[in-house]
Amino acid sequence: MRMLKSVMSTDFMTLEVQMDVKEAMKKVINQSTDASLIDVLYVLDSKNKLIGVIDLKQLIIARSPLKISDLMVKNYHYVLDTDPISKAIDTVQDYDRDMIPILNKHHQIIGVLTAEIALDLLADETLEDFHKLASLNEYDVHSKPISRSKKRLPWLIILLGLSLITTSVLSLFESTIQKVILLILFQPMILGAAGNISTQSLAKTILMISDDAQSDLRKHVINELLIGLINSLMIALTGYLFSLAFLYFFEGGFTVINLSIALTIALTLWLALLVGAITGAFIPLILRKLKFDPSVASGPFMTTLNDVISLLIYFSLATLFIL
Amino acid sequence: MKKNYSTLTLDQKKAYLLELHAFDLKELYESLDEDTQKELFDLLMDDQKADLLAYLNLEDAIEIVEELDTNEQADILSEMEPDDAIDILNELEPDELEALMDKLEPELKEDYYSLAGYEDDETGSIMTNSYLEVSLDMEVKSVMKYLIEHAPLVETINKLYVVDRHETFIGVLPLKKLIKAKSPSYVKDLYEPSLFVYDKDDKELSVDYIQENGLNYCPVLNERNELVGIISLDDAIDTYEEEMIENFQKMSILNEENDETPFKSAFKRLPWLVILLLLAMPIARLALSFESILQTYTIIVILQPLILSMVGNAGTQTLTFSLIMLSDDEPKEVVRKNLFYEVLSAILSGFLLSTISFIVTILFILINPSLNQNPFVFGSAVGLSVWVAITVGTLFSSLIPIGIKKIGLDPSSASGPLITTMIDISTIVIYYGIASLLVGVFL
Repeated sequence: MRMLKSVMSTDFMTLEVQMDVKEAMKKVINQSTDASLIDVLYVLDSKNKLIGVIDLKQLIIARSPLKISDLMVKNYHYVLDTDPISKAIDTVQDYDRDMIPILNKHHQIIGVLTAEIALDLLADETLEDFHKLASLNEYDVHSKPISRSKKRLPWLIILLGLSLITTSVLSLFESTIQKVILLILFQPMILGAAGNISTQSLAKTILMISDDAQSDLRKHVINELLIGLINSLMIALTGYLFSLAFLYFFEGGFTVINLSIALTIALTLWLALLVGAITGAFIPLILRKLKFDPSVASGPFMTTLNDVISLLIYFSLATLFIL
Repeated sequence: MKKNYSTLTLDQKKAYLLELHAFDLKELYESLDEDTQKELFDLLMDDQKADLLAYLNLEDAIEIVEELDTNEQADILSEMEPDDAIDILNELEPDELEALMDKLEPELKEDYYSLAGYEDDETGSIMTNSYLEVSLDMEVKSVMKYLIEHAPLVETINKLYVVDRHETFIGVLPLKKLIKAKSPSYVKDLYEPSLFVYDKDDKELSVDYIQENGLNYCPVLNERNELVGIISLDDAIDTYEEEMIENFQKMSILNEENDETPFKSAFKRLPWLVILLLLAMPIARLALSFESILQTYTIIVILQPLILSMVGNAGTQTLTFSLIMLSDDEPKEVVRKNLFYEVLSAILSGFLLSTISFIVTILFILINPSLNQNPFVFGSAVGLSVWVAITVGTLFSSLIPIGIKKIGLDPSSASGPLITTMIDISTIVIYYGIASLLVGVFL
């Protein structure tokens, strides 16, 4: 985790509150170097506390004998050095500031975050989220094959372990599978559909959390449930028609068993997709409560959970309807 | 904040609102009910109203503006930054716009005609023309005078923009350099060359360029190299964020605005779900041809999730890598080298994963004696399939996005679902094929 201290710039300029505009201008002109950030100037009191800010623009327009204390804005936006970087970026962005001061606990300025740095950090951060969601730990076009493998393997091995859970669930239904092998044909379709609907509501939820941590979760969850209900019904209907058509063409018409397989598929799609939509909306929220990073852990965790639940629904219904 | 606000008297409210930054004003406004929102809006000064409108999302802003009479509209819009005002003007009904245009200040009218001509995705649509221009032969004293006179009217004076006699953009004069300059000296001795973008460029590319080069108040030129506007970093950040969200949504087959009704969202998400459902049909057809062997050896089916999930995940990693690479517009050699590296890395990882899954499968069969199958035959089937399927899956995930980009489509929106399906199909063929082969030979 990077700290604000490690990304901030310390090339800011300060003024003393009792200066008049001429003295202030003189200080800016004489003491600024190529690196100095002088668009906003910071006003300190005698104890080095930050008590106001003033735009260079205001200073230039102002005429002597005005004092800095008359010109400065006391109601400025700042962040503390202990705040997360994301808060600093948000502050720059929300208040359209070219730079914001970073204060320590004594209210002394220790650095500034400029809009340039904020944009860079934003770029890093969003890319990072992107990678995490795909369990990709790096993006470097020059890294060698071995180091790529080394970085990605841990996730793949964890996923391998997780998929053993799915496999074990499946082995519970061995006899059902053996009796109605046709069920297997539609397994990838069902798992895929449940995964897709889940990904959609997962993505929506992650976007929402990262956009605004305090947003209205109840409304969001209710919305996602409604969306899940509508789309699971639509997909169940589509799945029913298509699997029926498939069985009709390839497996000898509308036999009783074909009809009940199609019905099982439709019911499974409905339930599994509904569950998928729910897990997609809830898992990131739960992970966040447990202090895990939702973008890292959601994907694999969700896939396994969805697969297990979908298979349980599918083969339980099949055992009920067909055998 | 909300609770406190509603308990204040009107005068207190007025005083309180004056202290708020536009962003906080917007947050407060959005937290209130409709009647209190109206009351709040009426309490504001014109410039505060302008700030509020600029911060609200466009639809809400339009709603408010449409309620106002033309004179008030003109007063408020004249207080806004031209780029924000134009966003609103663009959304008004033609007759409303016409009535309003007559009342607008001539400068804003002029800005409107020059800025409104840009498409939404062009760089010109996010620029502002609130800046100061100086010419090469000006002396610093007169520049300073000009600056002091005009500074209150423009968004920034951090840089002054230097043009020659033909309005051609020459460079910038940083404020710092100007205030340090000793008279007599001239703009032509002080200015610095500057990076810039063109008004007709794709705004995403421009924003990426601004980000990479850390350009605040980046100049925007037209095709005659005349300065037509600047892009401030805060606008660049907003655009950058929008673009990131868009990419993220494409990857996760989501394409909706915030604040849509559930029905509308459901309707927008449905097409992809249906398409992907139908794409799974070929998999069913394929599996059908292995029906008899699957029936005899159910274990093949039981082990299937293990292989599919691992290959799928490895594919997603490569896909993400390729998409980032393509959106970064890396040169051809780099893309080619990476294609090679990805596949090589897949062969390496595949070998290791294949060994692990070989062992895991054997253990799995041994601790589930009810399965009653030969652990080594099926362990080898899984192990071999993992290796081959990961290699093939990686090849797909790196080649398909490149192919999609070649034929002129956007790789990030089409690749994900298509590749997942292709990987599933190829993995199942490989797995069932190898399993049938081994079963045929050994059992």
